[in-house]
Amino acid sequence: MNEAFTRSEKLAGLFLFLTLLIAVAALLVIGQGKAWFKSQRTYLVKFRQGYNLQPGSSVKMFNTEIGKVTNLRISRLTDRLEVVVTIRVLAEYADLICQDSVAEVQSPTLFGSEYLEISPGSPGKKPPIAEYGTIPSKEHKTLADYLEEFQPEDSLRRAKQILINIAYLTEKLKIHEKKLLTSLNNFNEVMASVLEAKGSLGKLLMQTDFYGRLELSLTRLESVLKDAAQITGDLKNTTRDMPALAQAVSQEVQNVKSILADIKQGSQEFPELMGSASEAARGGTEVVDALKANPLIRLTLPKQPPSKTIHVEPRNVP
Amino acid sequence: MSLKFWVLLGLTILLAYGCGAGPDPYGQQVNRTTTLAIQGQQWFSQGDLRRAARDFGRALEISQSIDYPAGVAQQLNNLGAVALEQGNLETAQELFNQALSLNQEIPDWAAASTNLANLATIAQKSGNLARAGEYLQAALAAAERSGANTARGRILCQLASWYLAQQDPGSAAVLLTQARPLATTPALQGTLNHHWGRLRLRQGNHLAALKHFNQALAADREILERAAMAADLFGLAETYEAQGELDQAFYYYSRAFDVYAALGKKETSSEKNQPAS
Repeated sequence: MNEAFTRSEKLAGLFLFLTLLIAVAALLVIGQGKAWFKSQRTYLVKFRQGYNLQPGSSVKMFNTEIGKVTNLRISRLTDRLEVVVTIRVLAEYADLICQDSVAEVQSPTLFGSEYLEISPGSPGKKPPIAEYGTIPSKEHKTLADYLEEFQPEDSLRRAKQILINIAYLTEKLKIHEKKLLTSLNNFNEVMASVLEAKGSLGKLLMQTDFYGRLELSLTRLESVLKDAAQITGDLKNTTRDMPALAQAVSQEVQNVKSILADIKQGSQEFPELMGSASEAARGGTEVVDALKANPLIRLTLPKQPPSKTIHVEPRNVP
Repeated sequence: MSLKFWVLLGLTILLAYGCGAGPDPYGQQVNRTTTLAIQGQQWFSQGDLRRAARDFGRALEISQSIDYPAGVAQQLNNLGAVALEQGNLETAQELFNQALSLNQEIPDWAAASTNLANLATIAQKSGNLARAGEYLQAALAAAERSGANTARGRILCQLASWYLAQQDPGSAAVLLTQARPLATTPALQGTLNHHWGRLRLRQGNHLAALKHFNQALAADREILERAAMAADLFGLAETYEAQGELDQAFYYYSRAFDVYAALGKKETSSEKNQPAS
């Protein structure tokens, strides 16, 4: 019995075979591009919130994509709810993810979407994190957080307090300066008396008034010095706080500078984006114009009415 | 020859013709200007003067950039129309004059007649009826020079309106009769019927006035000329008021006011037309 295939059957078979071959080749090419066939490792990262991360968001190290976010879920295991982000990272970079690596969500300046940045650990010094282990995370700071941290009101209040203290001290110094000057004047007077009585020291020594005034002056001088020491102490305490405050202010200024730099960068990107958009729109218009120019299409298009010179009649004017 | 052969031959010719489209960058820019101008006219008709000015302005820029004087003159006139609607008479006059100069240079007498008619509207709006009459005479001369019936019909209608404002219904009737055979477009039919309605109202022929105002309303509605529709409704209201049918008068006044309100012209419309006498 002859069971040979007909020519049509052979052709159909060949066609199916070729289709299958092309499909497999396409799958391989796409898979290669998407790293489907590369070995990957799964890790967990925990955050207080999801920061707009989504499955498919990039995982980067040194601004280079090394994996993807595959899942996000809210964990109820502890009293404090947290978002557990599951990521898959290419196995070739697994050695860089160590115990001292830190995962942080990064936001684009103005456009784009959030991604997860993992800082490289210290291979050799710190052990690598095992698969399905949790990478330490750092909460992402939003602009609101920066502003909250900055606490401008608190900083201003502290600065105001310092100024009040300085004013108070200055005032006190002024009072004691007067006392000191008075004492010095008294002392001058005594010295003048001594100098005037230089021919008769015994007579001078018998002047009880001199001793009294000298004692008074010394007592006052002692009081002034005591006050001065106290003031110096106060000043020291205040100045001790100053570097910390200055450092805090400096830190906040740096933060604000960083935010401003981000905004500036974003504003630089914006015209570029608008340029691209208008370029694309122009391109679209040109394509439509070109299509309209084609006689075949032009024949089937409804004819555009001519534009007219508007005539404004008196009845149409309010 | 079989049918298959002829079909294939036809398709081949059609394809060859389709592929033979040559580049025409100037034509494309002119088309773009036209498209923008039409958009602007639609905004203008809807009373959205801001968008109308934007589109006319863009069309003007393109026309200037490609040295297209007809487009420049048209957009200058249209921007003048926007300024006139906004009540900015000085700017409108300046723009109409610029458009007129260009149209005289081109020359495009039909467009020049429209520029002159618009200048007449400004003069009439400013209360200078004598000057308006001069402009209209010049506009009629330009329209006749152009040989365009629609241009001539348009100017005749406006001239008739001017005679009505001058309390001269006889001359108005003559001009409207002359304009009747020239009114071949819905816009012109609307204008012609409106002025006939006003004339009949002035003459106390309320029935004829109602008929003309209704015909005008139908024509203006067809082309969605809202300001004209509002004027027609106002004419109907005035006619009913003159007839003593106050309910109907109130009804049409309300409708007219609604259209004016939609156009942003919420002022009383009594100044628009002459009161029924």
